[in-house]
Amino acid sequence: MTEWLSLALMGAEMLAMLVLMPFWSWLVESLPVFCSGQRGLPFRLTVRRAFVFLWTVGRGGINFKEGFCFVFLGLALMSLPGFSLDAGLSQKALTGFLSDPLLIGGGLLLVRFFLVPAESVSVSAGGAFALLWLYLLLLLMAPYIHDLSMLAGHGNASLNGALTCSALALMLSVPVPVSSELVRVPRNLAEFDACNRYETERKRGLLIFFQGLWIVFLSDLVVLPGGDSTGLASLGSFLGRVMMVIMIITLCRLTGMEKNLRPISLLLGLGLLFALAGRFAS
Amino acid sequence: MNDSVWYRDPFLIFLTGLLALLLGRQIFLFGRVLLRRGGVAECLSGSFSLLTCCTACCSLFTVTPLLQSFWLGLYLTFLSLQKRCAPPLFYSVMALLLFGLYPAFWSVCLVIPLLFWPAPEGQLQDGETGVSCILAVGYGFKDAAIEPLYWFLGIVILSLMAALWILYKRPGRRLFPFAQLCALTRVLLLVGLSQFALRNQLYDCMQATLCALVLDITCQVVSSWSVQWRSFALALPLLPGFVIVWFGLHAALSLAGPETSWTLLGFGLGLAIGLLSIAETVLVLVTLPSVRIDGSFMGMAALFSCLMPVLALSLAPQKEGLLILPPFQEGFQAVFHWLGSWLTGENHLLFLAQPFLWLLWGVVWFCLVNPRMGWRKPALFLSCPSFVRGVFKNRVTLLFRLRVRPFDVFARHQRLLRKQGEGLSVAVRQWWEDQPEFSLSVWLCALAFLFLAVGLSSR
Repeated sequence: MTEWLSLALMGAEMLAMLVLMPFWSWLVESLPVFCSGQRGLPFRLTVRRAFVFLWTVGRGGINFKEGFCFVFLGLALMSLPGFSLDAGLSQKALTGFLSDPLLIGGGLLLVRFFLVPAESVSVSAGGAFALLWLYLLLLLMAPYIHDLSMLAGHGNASLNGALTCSALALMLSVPVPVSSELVRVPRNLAEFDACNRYETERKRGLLIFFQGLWIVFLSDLVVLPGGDSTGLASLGSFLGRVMMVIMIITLCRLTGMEKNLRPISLLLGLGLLFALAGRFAS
Repeated sequence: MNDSVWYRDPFLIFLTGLLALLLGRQIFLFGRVLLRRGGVAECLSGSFSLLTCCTACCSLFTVTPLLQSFWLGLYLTFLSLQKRCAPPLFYSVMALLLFGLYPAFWSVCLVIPLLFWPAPEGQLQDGETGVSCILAVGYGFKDAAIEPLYWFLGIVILSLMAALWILYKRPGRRLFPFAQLCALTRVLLLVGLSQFALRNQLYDCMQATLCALVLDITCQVVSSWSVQWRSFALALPLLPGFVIVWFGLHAALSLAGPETSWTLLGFGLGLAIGLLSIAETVLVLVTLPSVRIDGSFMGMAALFSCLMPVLALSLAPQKEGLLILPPFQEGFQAVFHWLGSWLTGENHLLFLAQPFLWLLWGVVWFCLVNPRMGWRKPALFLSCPSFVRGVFKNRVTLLFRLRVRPFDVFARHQRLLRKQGEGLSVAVRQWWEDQPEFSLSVWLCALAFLFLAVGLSSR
């Protein structure tokens, strides 16, 4: 009985995240626009896009690349320790053992590679390097714990510092795409004709969920969740973390710090410093 | 490792099995040439490739160092006949003599350039790289076991020399030799890592390394067959190349686990393995003409990446206290032991990760991606879209309007800002451009906030 209850609660958590995702996506897209004194997208439009996307998927299927995107987004949704309603995060999910940062982050990077066509490969490679650095520091600090849901209660100062710094570097090196970056600007008539309007609409819908899950991933890394809080306290701290990440993303976009090598290298080095300090102090 | 019981080492038997696979493929190709009544040149090159495989098998089977070097010399002869280019005689004779007389890490390092001697146009050969790679790994495993640290050093120096050589030859737009070099360096580093773990009795590290090594060498052998096989080695999730990085990182960092003295070594090795994989992925992605990923490819990749770790785990030493690798007759027991522990989940559940991922992929593929499959689907899947359509047939209308009041205040403020003629970000950008450097005070403020956040979160 209790197993069924906890399964139902897990489903409720995932559903709550899914419902919240259009809101986060709207915040990420239009907060910088609002702050720079222009009118952004209306919230209705984002919600409508998400619903229409799910409807389209149900009716007509998706193509191969979007199938890949679905796999990794579903994996992130199932396994990331966002919040938990009934038990502590460490026994949270059935699939919590899959919340390995390299796996989830690599999958999300692949989704981003599919979504943003007009970007250099070197940006993705830089993101992969930041992710590799993060994973190395994580393995250095906690050698036998590699999933985030197990890591939830075990944070200490140096581990938190290393993860925070390298996650911020990851955030800066692979900025969240916005919906205007989804389509490559056509250079000739052939490229113009090759643009598929239906595919672009599906991509827009996919982007909403990608942005939401990327933010959840970053928020789990930037501030490690406490292991023992449940229920509304867990939900509240989760929402607070997510809002903090959205604020940081907005700030970085407004000040033009994204894809800037200097702060990225500073954060990576600082993460290594934290990790080595914690390692040799203990 | 005792020489008289080398054939009880399962890893070398695995390498020999790979060579036998290559030999079978060559026999198949040769038979096709014969059936097509190919010319003399075709028959000659086919028989040469057969002979290279045979001599490589012999030199892996041999125990005596001098005989081993003799078979290696025969292998090199047939290889050069096939490639129509040979390394200079004084170097090859010297290296083979030293390899026969003093088998150690440095003589293996002397021999490795012979195995991968570049063709005149400056490219590593595509066809025979697999056999050479197997030979290099086998020699490294047998003879370079004594000094793993010197082995690391030698590999780094050799790969730097090779990279400089490729640069000197002006590759132009041909980037694939660099990708091959990355993969080869990673394999050899993994060999050194496995020997290091074996010396220091780190069983977890040994198991993870053998997983990565078996997958990696199989990818190497397979990648010379066609474009589709080459894309197995991409370090993207779900593909076997990703599993290599995963296990390699775990192996390198579990080296750093118990003691602080190997921290920097483990970190550096992990960084090297990860960077080599990223570089190889980028280079292969750039050089691939077109990635044709279809259902059969994904099926092969799934089988490959799910079955290979099981094989590797059966090869690795168990925890019960064996220092040398488990002998061959215990290999089957080890397979059953590992299958049992996989199914019951005694160990890390991480071994379930790959099958679970493929399961997820299959579900998405059958339900969403390709609705027009050739065979009839059960009614459950067919009813899914109609169910969704029925829900959405009536317009979904919310009971309240989604206009949030507080944003009207915000909008008024925005209107004020717009009336003033410039937005906030423009001013900030202007300020950013005015600053020649991101000034020290700003860095210090950022650092202070970071420390504050860390302190608050770890309280």
